[in-house]
Amino acid sequence: MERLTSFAALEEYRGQLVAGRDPQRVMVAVCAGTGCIGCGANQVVAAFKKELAEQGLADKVEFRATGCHGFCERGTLVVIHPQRVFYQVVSAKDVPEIVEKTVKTGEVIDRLLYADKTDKDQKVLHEHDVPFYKHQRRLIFGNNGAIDPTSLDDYIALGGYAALAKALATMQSDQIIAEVKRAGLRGRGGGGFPAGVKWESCRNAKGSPKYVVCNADEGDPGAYMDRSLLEGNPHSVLEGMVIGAYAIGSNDGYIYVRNEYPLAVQNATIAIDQARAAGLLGKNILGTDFSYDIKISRGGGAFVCGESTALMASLEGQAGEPRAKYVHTVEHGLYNRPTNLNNVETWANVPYIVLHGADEYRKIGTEGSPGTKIFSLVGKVNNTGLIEVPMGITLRDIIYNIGGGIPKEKKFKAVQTGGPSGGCIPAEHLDLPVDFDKLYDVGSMMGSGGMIVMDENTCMVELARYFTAFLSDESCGKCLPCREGLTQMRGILQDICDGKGQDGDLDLIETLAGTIRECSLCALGQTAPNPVESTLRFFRSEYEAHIHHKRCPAGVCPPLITYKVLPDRCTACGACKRVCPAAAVEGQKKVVHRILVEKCIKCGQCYEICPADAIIKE
Amino acid sequence: MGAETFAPETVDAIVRKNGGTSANLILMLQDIQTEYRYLPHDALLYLSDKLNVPVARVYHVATFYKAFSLKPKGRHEFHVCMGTACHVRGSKLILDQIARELDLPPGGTSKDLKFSLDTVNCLGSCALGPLVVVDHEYVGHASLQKMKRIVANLKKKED
Amino acid sequence: MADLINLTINGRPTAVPYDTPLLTACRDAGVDVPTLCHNDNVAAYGVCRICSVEVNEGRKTRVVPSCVYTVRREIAVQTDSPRIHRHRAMLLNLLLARCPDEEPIQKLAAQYGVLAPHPRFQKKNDDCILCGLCVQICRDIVGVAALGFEGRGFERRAVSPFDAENPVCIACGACAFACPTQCIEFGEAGGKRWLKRWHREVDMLVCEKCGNYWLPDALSHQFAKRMGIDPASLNVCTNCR
Repeated sequence: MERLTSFAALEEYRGQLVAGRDPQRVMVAVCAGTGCIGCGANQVVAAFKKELAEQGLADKVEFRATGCHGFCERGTLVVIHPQRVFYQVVSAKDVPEIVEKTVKTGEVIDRLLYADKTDKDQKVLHEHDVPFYKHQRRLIFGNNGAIDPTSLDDYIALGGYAALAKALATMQSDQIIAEVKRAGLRGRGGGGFPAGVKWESCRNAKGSPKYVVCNADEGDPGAYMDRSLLEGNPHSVLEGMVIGAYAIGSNDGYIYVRNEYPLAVQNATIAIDQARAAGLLGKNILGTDFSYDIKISRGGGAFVCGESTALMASLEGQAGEPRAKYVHTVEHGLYNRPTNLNNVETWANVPYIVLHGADEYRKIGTEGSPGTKIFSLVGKVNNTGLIEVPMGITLRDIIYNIGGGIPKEKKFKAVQTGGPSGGCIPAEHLDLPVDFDKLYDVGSMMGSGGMIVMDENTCMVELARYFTAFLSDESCGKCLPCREGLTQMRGILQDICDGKGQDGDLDLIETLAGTIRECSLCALGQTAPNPVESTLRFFRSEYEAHIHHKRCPAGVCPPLITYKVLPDRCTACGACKRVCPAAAVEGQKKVVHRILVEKCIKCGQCYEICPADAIIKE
Repeated sequence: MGAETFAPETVDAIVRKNGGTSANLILMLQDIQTEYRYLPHDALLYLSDKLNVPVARVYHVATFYKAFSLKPKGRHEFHVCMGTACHVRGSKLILDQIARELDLPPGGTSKDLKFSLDTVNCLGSCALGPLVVVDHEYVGHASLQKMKRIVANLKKKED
Repeated sequence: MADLINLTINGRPTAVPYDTPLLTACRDAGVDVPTLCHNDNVAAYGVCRICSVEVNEGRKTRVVPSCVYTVRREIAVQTDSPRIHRHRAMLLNLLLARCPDEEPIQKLAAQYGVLAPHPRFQKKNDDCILCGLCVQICRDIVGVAALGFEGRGFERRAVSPFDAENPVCIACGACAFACPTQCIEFGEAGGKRWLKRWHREVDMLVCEKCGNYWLPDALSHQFAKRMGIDPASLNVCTNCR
């Protein structure tokens, strides 16, 4: 496509694209996000291309390998438009039948339809009726399923870059900042800081050049919405950044992406090149005298680089060590210049706000937290995946209506939000409306949006140990309280999990937590005590069982559990004996097997393989 | 195959490709790591000289980030995701199983440079958990027996 | 800005220029605040957190490291409140677990009632408190940057790169001089000077006139380059000139 050198040219081009696209034409959309690729999406894509070509349909049927649709539990996902027939768990061998039946004649293939795990006969035909999607509000994420992320045309046809054109053509920088402030957009990366206020401070800061940067370091384990946004709709992020750069007065920017996200790096790079060639990025954007360009930088594998000053150190080619923030990065950031850093999802919200206005944006969400939030709903929940919901929805609605409840009829125990900086929320707070402030009130936080559901077989002490160990590993090591304190706290928690807990351990943990929280240099250390503190607040009895009774009530901590064969269920098939690496199973043909506790190394293989569910952990 | 000594022209090309500026040190090191499966000592000295930055700084960056290794990695790399979602689905037992089958601790590489085992913090494919990446291929819904088979197959291939 | 900002330190009012480090403000007011990683010759690194004090900025009180925090508005400071005392005790307890045999740490810890690391803490037998002064001084004052850090987290170490001899080290001994625990052994004998910790050994220049050893040759090269003089002029020691 040619370079667009005016707002009119953009609109004309958009018009041409829309005119050339028949909404009634059959379109096959296959999710090609990293999750579905792990389920064989690449093979499904190849199979469709082959089959459509062989059937002579390549010209009549549109085909798109799209970004992540979000319902990762049921990958590979295929949606046939215009009817929006929703097929799940599709594999390459299903493709010829799909083309023959649904694509050619609209005939629906029952077995590929979504059915609730609890009611297998209730099949759902349309994507928007699937409970997982029905209760969502996919303002930002919705387009993922409609576009090929490597196609600028797809993005423009859906209205892309109209917000940028409006901003450049009709708004001054202060108007844009005022609008973003009024919209109440709060940082979606974890801090929840008002984006408009940050932009204003950066705009007013002295010094140049100014940098406008995107934080795509998404390190919270269990959170992957930024990955899916950057993979699936990179232009939405770019558009937001260009608007922000214009409002702040910056000509230079970066997207800092985690090293572990190769597809996101790839698609963002393609998008940048396309936008630049089209005159939507780089010099003289859309023919104006405003120029802003973006470079992609990759992390080296360090969670701490999600912290703003560590991220900037890494951008400068240094070790990712944070520094004190009594002087903010909006004043002295990258190369000591004013720098505005926002998260991927925050940037993706900007075009909507500029195009539709703050009032429209505020119609969604709560007073203190307008808009939507994308959560990654994972763990012990039936429908795992990425969901976008209005702020203010309750935890119960998320976990049960969208998530479909807890698998295998187990009981809900807690949901962890906010990643390693967050806390666990127990059943008594399931009706909590989710927003930034309400989550703080119960000792957790929004964080980047990771939501990990746990059932009765999750040990909360072990979970606290896990998060503390994670943070201890990721600590940059610069300051004493985080480096030494987290190591010691982890050691004590490990002891407790190993049945070596002692009287006084909980008091020591609480004192340690206080010093780590108040004396650490950066937010990694300052929030590190949250998992321990929140699990102690709601699940203290579990800690006490480990320490005083050497018991793990959830049946998880290996030194505190024993694997046992239930004699009345054992069929003497011998599978357990065959897999046991420690020769700890005694038994012969037709004789009930027995696990020798002294030899058992608790590897779990017998438990996994027993076809009769005859092995338990107690 | 032992540790290669680096070729200056290769590092020169990497420096050029990454803008020749020390701000892009991490990107350069990533390319060197990809090229040689580790960061050769001499390559780091050469890079320090070429970019005119102290060796001490290059060394700190090389040892700070998890993406880098100062020792060669194995031909077959196992990366077990230890993210929270994978953790609650039992990734620790999976890690222990692979460690047992390979006779390697996490972070270790076999002396014959055939295998490496590492943990990795959340790859963002949580619905596939427990997740193991074997030579860049995502093995989702990993089970103890599945990993046992994969290791056995790779061992056979290497023999 | 010649403006003075009013503040109170432990209840006593004082005033300092805008952006004065709080540690400086305290010391100038005659209030002693303990430090470990601080050195007036280099920029504040703010890692030991021992200099932490309580600051009330109006809304609520928070704990800040006084070496890095600068005075920009009216505040009320407490340098040794019970909360600060508790934090320092815990910090020193943690440090003692890493370096149980280092006298300067033992002394400071004792002032806060910590005579031994907590029995539940894992102990190391380190002599380095990771204050970073050696690295900073070598980089920012001496200017050769022969030292740096290795790794991260609990395994972080101050090292000569690759834990091997670094030829850019001029064996000036500034690092040894600045080290709070004196764990950088620095010696000279038989025409050689060494720094054991950095595996560094250099030859000493011999004075052409009196025959005594007087400068490490590595240092002499650096010095000549910096001063723009002929290195040959350093073949005669200062006593013989």
